[in-house]
Amino acid sequence: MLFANHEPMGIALLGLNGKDQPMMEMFLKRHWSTQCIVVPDHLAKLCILDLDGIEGNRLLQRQQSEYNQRPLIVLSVHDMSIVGVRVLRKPLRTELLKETIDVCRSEILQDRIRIEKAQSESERIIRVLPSTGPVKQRGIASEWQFQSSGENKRRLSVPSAASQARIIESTCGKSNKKEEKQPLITNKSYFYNHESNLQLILKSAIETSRSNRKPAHLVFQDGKSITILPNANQCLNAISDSKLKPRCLLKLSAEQVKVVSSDYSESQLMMSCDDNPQPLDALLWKVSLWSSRGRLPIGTVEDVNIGIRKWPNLTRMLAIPEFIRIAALWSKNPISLTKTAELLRIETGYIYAFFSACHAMDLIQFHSSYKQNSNQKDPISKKLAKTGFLRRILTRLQSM
Amino acid sequence: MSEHKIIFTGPVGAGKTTAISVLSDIVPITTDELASDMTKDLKQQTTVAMDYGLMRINGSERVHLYGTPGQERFNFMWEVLTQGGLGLVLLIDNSRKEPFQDLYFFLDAFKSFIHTTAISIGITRMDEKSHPEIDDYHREISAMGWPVLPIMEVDAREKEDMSMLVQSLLYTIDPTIAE
Repeated sequence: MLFANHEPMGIALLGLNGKDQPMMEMFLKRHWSTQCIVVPDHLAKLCILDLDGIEGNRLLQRQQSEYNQRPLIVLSVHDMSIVGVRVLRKPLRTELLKETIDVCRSEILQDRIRIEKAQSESERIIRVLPSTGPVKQRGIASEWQFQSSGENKRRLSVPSAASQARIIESTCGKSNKKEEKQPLITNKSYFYNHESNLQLILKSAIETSRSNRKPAHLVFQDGKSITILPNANQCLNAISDSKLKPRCLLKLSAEQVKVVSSDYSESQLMMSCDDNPQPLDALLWKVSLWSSRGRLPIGTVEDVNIGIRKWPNLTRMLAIPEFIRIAALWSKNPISLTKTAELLRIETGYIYAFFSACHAMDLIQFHSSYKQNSNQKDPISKKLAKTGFLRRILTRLQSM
Repeated sequence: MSEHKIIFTGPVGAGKTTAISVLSDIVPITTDELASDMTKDLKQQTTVAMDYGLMRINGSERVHLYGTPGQERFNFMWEVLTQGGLGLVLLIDNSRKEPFQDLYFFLDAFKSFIHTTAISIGITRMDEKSHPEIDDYHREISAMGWPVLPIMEVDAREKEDMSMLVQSLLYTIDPTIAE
């Protein structure tokens, strides 16, 4: 079992010969990247010992006498069992070694949690309480930073113009302004396969975790993970935005991202992790936007009338001003994607990206047989008199 | 000269005065008095008549921002304040004992004004108390028979939050406002 963003675990390699030592180091690096590092014996949390070397038995005795509380993995060609030691028989099966190291990591973490639990109750509470809120994204890679300039501040800061342009490109795709006179043509490039990427894997993991009411880890091949905390409606994300974004564009298989159910409680996981929790909805929202990049989920029909069941919580999500307009339109009257673009006169990329994110969050409702009420006034003519003024107020608000 | 007004309402302590102060171009005019009733348990001063702020749009255009007093005993003023208003910004304090009761009360009290204009709802103090969640408010509003309304988590002290909330109000009035 893996956990999000712990400090690297030190592993001591003892008794390995000059050929096996670098092989083992490469193996560790490949599977856990920087999460496991080889350290001297006295700094290690876990030891892997080759019993078949000349010094094997002496090293084992030393481990048992000096580090009897520390997990120990012994490698040997002989079939044997040693009390309190995990023995792996050579030739080594890498999967088994990997699993054994993971089990040891879990035990080490559990011990850490136990130690922390013994700390004063007040300190523990302070660490758990902030979990309810969004969220400060750590690291410079987060384009749309959450600010925490004071206590309990939970909001998004406004990015610079250049940064906003990057956000728009990464969520709504490249601008088509030069081609805007071209008619809207449905072709393959408008669609993406949302069923074979991170968006669906994350969504399914959230749904499963919520229905089981148990935390779950999304573990990537490189050992990075996202921990889902269904009851707190939060996640612990060890992956920076800049690294998460390209993953959203990849076709991912179950082998590349594993979903592992956790046996630990949410508070234990929060205590053991340095990441600030962030809302699950906000994560799914931005993953959907990055997956979309201004394209529609495959199979979407552009001429079907749609609406939204509820407004997304845009103040706490990756949002651009056009999203408010689209949300306002879709919350009032069911309308097709094509008509939305015509009526709002905005690029389809904005509409498709917003649709994709809303679709991932199950906010979209389809109205295949909806016909607009003939008594309903055309919103444009109804409000025409105020439009200029409203526009100017909006310009003023957007410049704040 | 073109003049319009936006009304801010909500229970005592929801952040109406603060919201107006972050949006206003002038130092807001408040009619705060020392609280003498149960409000004093929540804050030392409270609005007894109204708050007033102003957004200057250009030379001759202005948007007046009016905040209603939170206590129900001042509700005789609400009808007067809303006359000619563009729309209503309702702020609900999530940390209060029964925020849904506040929601029902204010939606009902301003029903006719909302039906002829628009509303956006900001939920404040969610950092102090995270439940009910935004989804719960949507459920309540839907159960009351209201259409889909903009509801967002806001911090009344934050300009960006309040700006987005008012933008959602204006786009609800007319989503087709051209760039």
